[in-house]
Amino acid sequence: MGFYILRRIGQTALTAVFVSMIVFSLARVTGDPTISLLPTEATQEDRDFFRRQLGLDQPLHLQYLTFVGRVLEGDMGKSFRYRESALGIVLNRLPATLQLAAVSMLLATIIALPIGILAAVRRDTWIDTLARWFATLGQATPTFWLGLILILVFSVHLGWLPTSGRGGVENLVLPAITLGWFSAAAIARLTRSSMLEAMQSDFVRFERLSGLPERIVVLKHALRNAAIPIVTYMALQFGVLLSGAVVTETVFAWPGVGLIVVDAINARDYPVVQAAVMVTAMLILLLNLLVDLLYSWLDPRIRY
Amino acid sequence: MDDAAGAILEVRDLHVRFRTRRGPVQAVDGVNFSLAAGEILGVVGESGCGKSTLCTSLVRLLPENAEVTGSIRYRGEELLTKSGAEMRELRGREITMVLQNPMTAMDPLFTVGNQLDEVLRHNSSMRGEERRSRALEMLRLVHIPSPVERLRSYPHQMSGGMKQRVLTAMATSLSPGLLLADEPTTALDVTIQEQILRLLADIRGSLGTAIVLVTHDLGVVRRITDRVMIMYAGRAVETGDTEAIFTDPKHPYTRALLASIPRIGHTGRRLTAIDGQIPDLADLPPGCAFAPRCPSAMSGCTTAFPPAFNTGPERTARCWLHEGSPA
Amino acid sequence: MSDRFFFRRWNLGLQDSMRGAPVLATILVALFVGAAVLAPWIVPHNPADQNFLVSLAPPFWQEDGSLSYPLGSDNLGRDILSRIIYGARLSLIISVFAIALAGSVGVLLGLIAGYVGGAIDSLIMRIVDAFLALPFILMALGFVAALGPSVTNIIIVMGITNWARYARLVRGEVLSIKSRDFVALARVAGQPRWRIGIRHILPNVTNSIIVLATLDLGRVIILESSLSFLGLGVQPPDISWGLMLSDGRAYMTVAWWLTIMPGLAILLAVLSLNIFGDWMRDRLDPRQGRD
Repeated sequence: MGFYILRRIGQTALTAVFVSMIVFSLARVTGDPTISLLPTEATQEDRDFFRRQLGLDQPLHLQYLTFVGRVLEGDMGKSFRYRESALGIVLNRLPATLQLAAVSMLLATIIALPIGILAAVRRDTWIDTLARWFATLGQATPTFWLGLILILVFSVHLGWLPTSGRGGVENLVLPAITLGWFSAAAIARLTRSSMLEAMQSDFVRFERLSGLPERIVVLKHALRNAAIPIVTYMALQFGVLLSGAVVTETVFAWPGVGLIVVDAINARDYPVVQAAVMVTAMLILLLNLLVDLLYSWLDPRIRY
Repeated sequence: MDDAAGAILEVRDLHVRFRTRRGPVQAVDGVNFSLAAGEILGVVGESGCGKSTLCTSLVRLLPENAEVTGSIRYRGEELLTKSGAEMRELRGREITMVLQNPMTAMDPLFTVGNQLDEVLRHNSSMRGEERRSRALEMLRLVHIPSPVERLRSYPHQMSGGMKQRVLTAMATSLSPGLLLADEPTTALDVTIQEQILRLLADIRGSLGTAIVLVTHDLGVVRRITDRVMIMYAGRAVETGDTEAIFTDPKHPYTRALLASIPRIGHTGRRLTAIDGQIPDLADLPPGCAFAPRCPSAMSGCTTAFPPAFNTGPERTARCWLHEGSPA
Repeated sequence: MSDRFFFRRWNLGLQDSMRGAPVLATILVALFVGAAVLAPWIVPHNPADQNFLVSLAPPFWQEDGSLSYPLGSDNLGRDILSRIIYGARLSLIISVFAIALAGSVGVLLGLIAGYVGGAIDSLIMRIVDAFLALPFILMALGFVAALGPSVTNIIIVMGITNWARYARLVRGEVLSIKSRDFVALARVAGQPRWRIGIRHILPNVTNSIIVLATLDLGRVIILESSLSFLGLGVQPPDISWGLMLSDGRAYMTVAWWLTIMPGLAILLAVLSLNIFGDWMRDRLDPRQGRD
């Protein structure tokens, strides 16, 4: 058990190093910052001075080490536009994105699990057909389009819900449905297939032979076994939600990390983009690690 | 045969047909047998002869595309007309089953104690403490060392043989009248097989449970069964007393099976190949399905399947060779 | 396995290989590909032609609609149908090239990881983990912003952000195939490692790759349209479904078809590709059946 945890933490740390390299390279491919930051009439001396200031005259690996050192101190550079810590700006917006993603995930789970389980239990009936259509359709719907249609129907025509902004629960409904829609479909699909697999296993057959009520066989044993892939997948989906929030936040003007990233990209404010990618990636890594640890609690076979 | 008052299980003219994409498959075709309390019946045949289907049909757990007709009477009550709830009452309490592969027959996420307890809780009115002592008692009965610790073990912490013994304990914890054992030793080591067989014989002795033992291992059959039913292509081709059948087989298929046992050595008594192909249940030849492989086949064999002819006291064979005997 | 499918396909003809295919989805996929390939010859109007006399014309079944603009026109009087057809062309070009790029990189690294094993394997797999952990759309946005939003750059970015799944898939397949007899035989026969890799292992993983690539097409189409919708993908005067949606958004309340039509095009294209891909998976690679 202890060894397993240590190994997973080690792997995560190594992955984090690679993530930081990718984010670092993101900074390098953005080109020479002196061109976008200095006025066009700046002299070559000005540029060279500025490059030394930013450490761009150093060899690449030293630049990377400096970058990592700063990141570890919580310094991801200053926003070109606001002259404040880029990390600070991102962290400021993070709660809004986390809130949206969490509510979407909750919504998706509440919808998807019963649909997936019911479809598996009533395999090949109309319920199953309906569930499969829901899953297939949901995974083919472009998020932004769904958002626009929801606005068109519920805000413009019916006038029930606001079109944009963050505030009370009424502001959360449409964005959460929009963002969670794809995940609901994906989770429902996986729940169905995992449940089908679990229900075909020998132990389910033995439990039925042993006279256990169907409710216990399905909801306790089959579901608990199916839960292992489902939980991993949900963690993966949460990552998709965090990242996909960009689109939803843009459609609904939800003031989260995504909105500020799109903003920052349009303004060529790269430190903010980097900080956002870094923070989101680290969150996803951490989440994956947590899920793996949760595994060892769900599955006794891993407790070695 | 006789409708002996002592019969615990009475199967009459049982047919199981699966509707599949390739057309109907007749997996069990007109099987008759009866089983007295505490008796062990061996059901023998090559794989795909319908013996596992027969077993599963007795507890009404076949997939939905199966059509079952005929009659299955357990302690005089017809099972085929019982509701799902009534069948659930019987399963686990009166009729239980041990499966072929013990490795996958237990939920890997729960402890042995938890799973044993669950079976007792849902099939009896025992209270917590009572269930625990019953579980321990059962583990002792199946010779599990340090049963108290075992209750806390997970399935993956036990060997295959130990799992099969635990599963046998689960299946017999409420002294069922009938235990269906579907190739319970096939997936195990030869040395472990012996232990499980002895265990089944013990259980019959101590609990008086009747056992249907499905197997393709004739050595096993000879050692512990009282009577045998030989199946071929979904049909019971020969039934009778075990010793009688082993010493004087009447059906050519039984003879071929017995001839395929290696004469020397005690292990490895599996069925080795009999010439010819195992028949395809979806596409059976007319008449006797064994005829294409039968050394004594006659011209009539490929047109009509024979009825059961009596070939001795409580013995039948479905073969035209015995036409002279009264059906 | 893979070659059997293709041989059968060519030997016994299209009819047999398509047996059991989902009819509607297959027709839609064919329509999508057909429209993309034949775009210049089948469009009723030049998609860039502006005609202010017919701006914001509704679809033909509506009052004031006309068959010369079957799906209506946009605010500049451009024909929606023609633009959707051209959008299909760019969508298909981008997604096919992006997947080809992602697939080649992923397959190569996956082959190396699975075949060489050891430290190189763990190194590659950690990089795969890193790419899978990266917030996908955010990273794509970042790279597009850095490189500049041209069609080539979009393809490169999608390649960079999508290769990891192919590497993981191929590595897993290689590991399972590696243990099989014929590979051992080839080894005993003294064939060099790289040659075993290419001659014996690659053909065996082709099926899984084809299935993943088909299912990925839909994903990449949605991703491209998302980027374009955010203004960071395809740029005017090129035509993309996402871009049409983002342009039409301002007219949503007065001319719903500007938003609904391109969205419907994306939905139907992705839906039919996914259904078609699922069918291919069941047929080619039953083991991959679970998500």
